[in-house]
Amino acid sequence: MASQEETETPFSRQDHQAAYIFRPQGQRQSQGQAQASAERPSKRRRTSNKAAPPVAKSVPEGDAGLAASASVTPSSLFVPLLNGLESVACVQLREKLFHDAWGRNETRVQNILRDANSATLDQVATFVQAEREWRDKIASAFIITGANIASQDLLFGQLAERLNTGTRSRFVRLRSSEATNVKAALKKIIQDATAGDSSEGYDDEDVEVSLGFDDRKYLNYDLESLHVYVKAHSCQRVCVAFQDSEGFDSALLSDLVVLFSSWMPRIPFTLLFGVATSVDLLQARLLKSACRLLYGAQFDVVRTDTILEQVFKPAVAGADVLLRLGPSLLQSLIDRQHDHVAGIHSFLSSLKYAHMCHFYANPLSIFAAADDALGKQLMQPEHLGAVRTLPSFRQAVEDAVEAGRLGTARSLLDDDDYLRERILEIPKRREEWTLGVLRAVALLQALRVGQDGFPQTYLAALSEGIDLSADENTDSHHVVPSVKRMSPDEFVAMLTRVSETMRNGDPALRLPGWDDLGSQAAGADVGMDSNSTDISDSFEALAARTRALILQARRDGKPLKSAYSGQRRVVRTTVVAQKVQLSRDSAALSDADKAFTKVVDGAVALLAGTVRCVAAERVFLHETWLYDAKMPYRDVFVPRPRVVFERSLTRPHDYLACACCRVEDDEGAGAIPATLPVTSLLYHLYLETPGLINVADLWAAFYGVVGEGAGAEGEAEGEGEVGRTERSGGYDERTALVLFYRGLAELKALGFVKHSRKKVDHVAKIKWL
Amino acid sequence: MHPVFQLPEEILISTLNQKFPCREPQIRSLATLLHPHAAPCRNLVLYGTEATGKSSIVEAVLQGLHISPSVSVNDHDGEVPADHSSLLSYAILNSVQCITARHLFERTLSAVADALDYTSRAKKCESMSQLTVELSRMLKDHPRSDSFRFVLVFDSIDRQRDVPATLLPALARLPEIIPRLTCVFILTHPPAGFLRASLVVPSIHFPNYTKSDFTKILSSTPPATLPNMTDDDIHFLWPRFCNAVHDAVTASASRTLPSFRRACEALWPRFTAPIVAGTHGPREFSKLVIVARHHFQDEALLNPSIISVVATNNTNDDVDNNATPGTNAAPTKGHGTPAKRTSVAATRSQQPAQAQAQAQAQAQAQAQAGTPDIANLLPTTARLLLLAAYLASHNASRHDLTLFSTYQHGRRRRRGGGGVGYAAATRRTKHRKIARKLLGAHAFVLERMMAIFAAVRTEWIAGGGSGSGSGMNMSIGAAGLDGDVGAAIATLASLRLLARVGAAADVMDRGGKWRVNVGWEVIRGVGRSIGVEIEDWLID
Repeated sequence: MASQEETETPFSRQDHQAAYIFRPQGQRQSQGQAQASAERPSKRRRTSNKAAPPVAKSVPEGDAGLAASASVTPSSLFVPLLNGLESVACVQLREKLFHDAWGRNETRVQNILRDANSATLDQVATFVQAEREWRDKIASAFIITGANIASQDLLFGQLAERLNTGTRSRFVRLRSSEATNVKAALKKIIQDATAGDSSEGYDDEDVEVSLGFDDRKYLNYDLESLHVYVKAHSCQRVCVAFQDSEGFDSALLSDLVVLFSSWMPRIPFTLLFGVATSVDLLQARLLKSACRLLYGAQFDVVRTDTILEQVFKPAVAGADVLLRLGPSLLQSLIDRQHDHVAGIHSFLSSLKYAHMCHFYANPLSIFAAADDALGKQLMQPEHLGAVRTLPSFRQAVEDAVEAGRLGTARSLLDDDDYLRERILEIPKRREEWTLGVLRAVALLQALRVGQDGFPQTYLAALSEGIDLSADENTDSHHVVPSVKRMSPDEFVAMLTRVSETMRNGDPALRLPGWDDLGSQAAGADVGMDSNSTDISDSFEALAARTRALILQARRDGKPLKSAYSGQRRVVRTTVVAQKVQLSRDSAALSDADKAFTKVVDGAVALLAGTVRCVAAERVFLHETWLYDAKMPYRDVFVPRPRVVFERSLTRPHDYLACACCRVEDDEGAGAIPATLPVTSLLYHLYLETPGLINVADLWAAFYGVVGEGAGAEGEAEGEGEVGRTERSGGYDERTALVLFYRGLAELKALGFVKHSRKKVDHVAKIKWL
Repeated sequence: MHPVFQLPEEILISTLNQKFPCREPQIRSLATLLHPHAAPCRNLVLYGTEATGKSSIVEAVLQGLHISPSVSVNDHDGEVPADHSSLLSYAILNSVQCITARHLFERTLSAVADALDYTSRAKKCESMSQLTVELSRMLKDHPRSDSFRFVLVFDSIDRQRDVPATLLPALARLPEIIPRLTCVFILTHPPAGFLRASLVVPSIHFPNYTKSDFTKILSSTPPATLPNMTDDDIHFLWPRFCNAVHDAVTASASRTLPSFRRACEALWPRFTAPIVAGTHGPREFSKLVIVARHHFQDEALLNPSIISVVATNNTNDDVDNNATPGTNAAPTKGHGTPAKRTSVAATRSQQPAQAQAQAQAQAQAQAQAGTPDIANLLPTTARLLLLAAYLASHNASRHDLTLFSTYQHGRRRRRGGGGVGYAAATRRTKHRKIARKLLGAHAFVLERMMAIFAAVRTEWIAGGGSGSGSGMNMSIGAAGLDGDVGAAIATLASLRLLARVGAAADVMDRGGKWRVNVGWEVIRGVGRSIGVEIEDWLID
């Protein structure tokens, strides 16, 4: 809600500034109180009270705000870059590219997320709708959702949809914040279950409502009204979902269960619990008598890892994704998913943020899309200048120089037209590279060697490229050896998978089969062999040959093995003259084995020729379509308030950049300039203190620094070193005392000190150890 | 015409006796005290522990009396209007269903109006006095026979929420004000002096069933016949089996009839499994008991899990027929559960990777034998924080320097519980006998937990080689209390694994006090999931 409201008001200049000193209106003008109050902005009111809540309910909170910002603001938030020299058309193109790229991604991902829960939904629905033989227990479904509470909303929304449509059943969602006591919970349940049939307001306490056919009135927490309603509408079940069952008070849960059970035959309750930890813990919290009333079944939601992979393929790695995320950023995103409490939604908003950053801040991003005419039209001299600053450009020039192609290097540097041509090649190069990487990764996945999931393989391909022929020595993948060690059956299965992948591609990746665009892409493929159909055929031929060998071996009754399989070396024992001689010997390979070895070698060579790609960073001008900056992402998504506070207090110059705060390095560590802001000054003193701080001492030290004639202070013995700093004129005692109090109060508000009851006139450091 | 004293009919009592065995004295007294022609009283207290038949018997007796011919209108009794054919009406209120006292009053009125077919209802009733007025309006003003009684039953009135102290005495006074009204109070246990100081209230005690009662009740409903058994066999085996179950389980721990019945039903399939399998005959009772001895020691009988999908009459060993998605949650009774759960997981999942992951997780869970799988659900940071919180709660802060300082090279760590140095430690600190981890969790300052977290973070992450692959980076929580760590703390708090103590101002307040809210078993599981033996970090 907050973000939504903010987006409705235009940005102020300070919104984009990293740090500034907050000066309230009155202080800045230093005139009368009257004028200050006259200029006070009108109080913000929630004007969108009617329209907003349904949005916020149905869509996850963060997305609602972002979606609103995209749709509500008609005027573009994109500003001209390149020192403001960028043309309007470019700006608009960037914005359009962003909306296209992200919009396509978003709808796709939302569909995936909706489908991901379908299995769980089916199971729960079947359980809930099953007919029960006996009615003395409440059927309850325990849905293990995992620690990420944010994802529960979507799931329960889907459940509500699912269970409300099928039969005459009512679905009520309860959150722990809404149901703090029995009365509130019952009110909510009755209100939601009977919603749509009565238009009375329920906000007042203890309203009487009439629901049945007769004119009887019920208290709004009286379940009898629900009973009457259920009878009148012949409802088959009333589902009550406790979304975050951990958040509910244990006594309340038990109470509700007992209460529902007492109504059980008359109101057909079904309970659903969203469990974030484990059912055992939940059971331990419930009363035993309440547990006995439950007839439970446990359901698991798809794990975040699985969903991540499902989302990852189309949204990050997909063939038609315009913006590639770089390996280091992606790695940190994935790590964050694993290490921290961050749901798939935070992954998505991170993705969106990366898209925003790229298209907002990178003027060259317009060249990534394949639209030659437009690109040529829009290209400005500033673009060329910007391109020439890129690392990949420099790399290309250096490579050209090293390779002796001085002409190329020179024309890259000097010839604007040549560079234009090269820039217009970017989309094509991007597509070629993408196709190469995805094909290589898809084939690696088809090999099914190693334990890495798709994201890890993709990341490795992105950062280091894939080259199976060089793999033998460095051996990061263990791909080639493990392919060689495969048993014949595995080998055949692997070959079949590979050729199938080549034929069909990977629909999740939007990767078509090799043949489909072989004709278009073949001519210009750099890292790939030109005629992919032949490769696919030769894989199949190898598979057929292996099958024939296996059949042959089976007929002969001998196991088929290659020269690389494990049991090749055997130990022979020979007894010669009552001595045992051990000798290692390689088992002799039969002709079939040799043939198989040849097949394996051929397959490996073929794979090494096919499965290869270069690292993203080695593609010329990859900066236009690759985004790999971690910095704004971490600052935005993982705020570090404490570190920032401490740093700003220790080194205020870093944030304020004013002359008075500058701490010269050549001064000693103990020297604290008196020109620092008061709080910062006190913080420096604070750092030197033990756990309990005598306020009088602190004041003496403080006054020694800022007071007039600081060096001559007799009482500040310990702080003589501090007091000796060059002071021209300090504050008088009253002013210093005021400043001291203010600084101390600010330290307290920031949470560095607190009152101590151990000693009079002391404050305690909160920081431990 | 004054009614002649007349006991309730024997036929009524005998039907009730058949329906509720072993409750004859209670049924007789109840019928006598409620019968309009016998000894109707004003107030009546029924008490007894749960599941002794109080509510059901009262309802059955009242229903029986309501339709009983002796209570119905006689031909020569011309005073009563024709539409009221019975001399006894009743209304039953269950206090469990009443949220407030007002709720109770209004439901009382509406129930009485329903019972009397009274058409003009009161709009609202907020107080006891209003209830009195409305009740007397309904009950007094109607022309009825003198011997008409109205019985108002307040079931489990001792569990009424939101109750003013005067409610019970006031309710007990109602029959004094309103003639022909009987109030029946059903409680588990009347407090001393309950309704006794001022009035002499007849009360009926419903004692718990004895062993022979239990057996008799259960013998009346023998289970269905199984293969290799005749009806005679069942009639031979079932009472003996019930006796055995009573001795094993019910006599000591679960004393109510439903739990006894549940235990019998849960054990019966396992007990008769050898007969179905053909290894034992149905008459070899003692051999069967010996074979099924370990089942009788199963504590899951006493505290059944709330996950109970397998129907008890469907037999437990019949595992294959619940492959339907609706019932594939694993039962926790019975053996071979993990294997089954794995197989179900494997069949359910569509993708091989998922199945593999689940199978691994299941195998892990199986290896950890009963550890809740909370460890698998939490991300790494949250696990670390939870462990740090546990240490902060269970170690005294004066030991922190010893435990967590990395300044000294060889860390002197004394073990808590049954470690190596335990004997020496107990000799020194003889006054404390309870291990600290068995005591409740102490409160700690958030800052202390963060300090512990910072101290152990690098060591635990580096040492604990969990199977997360390259995800184990050292950067977890490197920046102190950053956004992700804060989110982890908030998540733990919202899952009630960490609890805030006292009314602190803000969650992010670094001086706020917290306490860990999970026990030793869970923590040990969490610790092992990242390869940390948490016992090494506790000082007793």
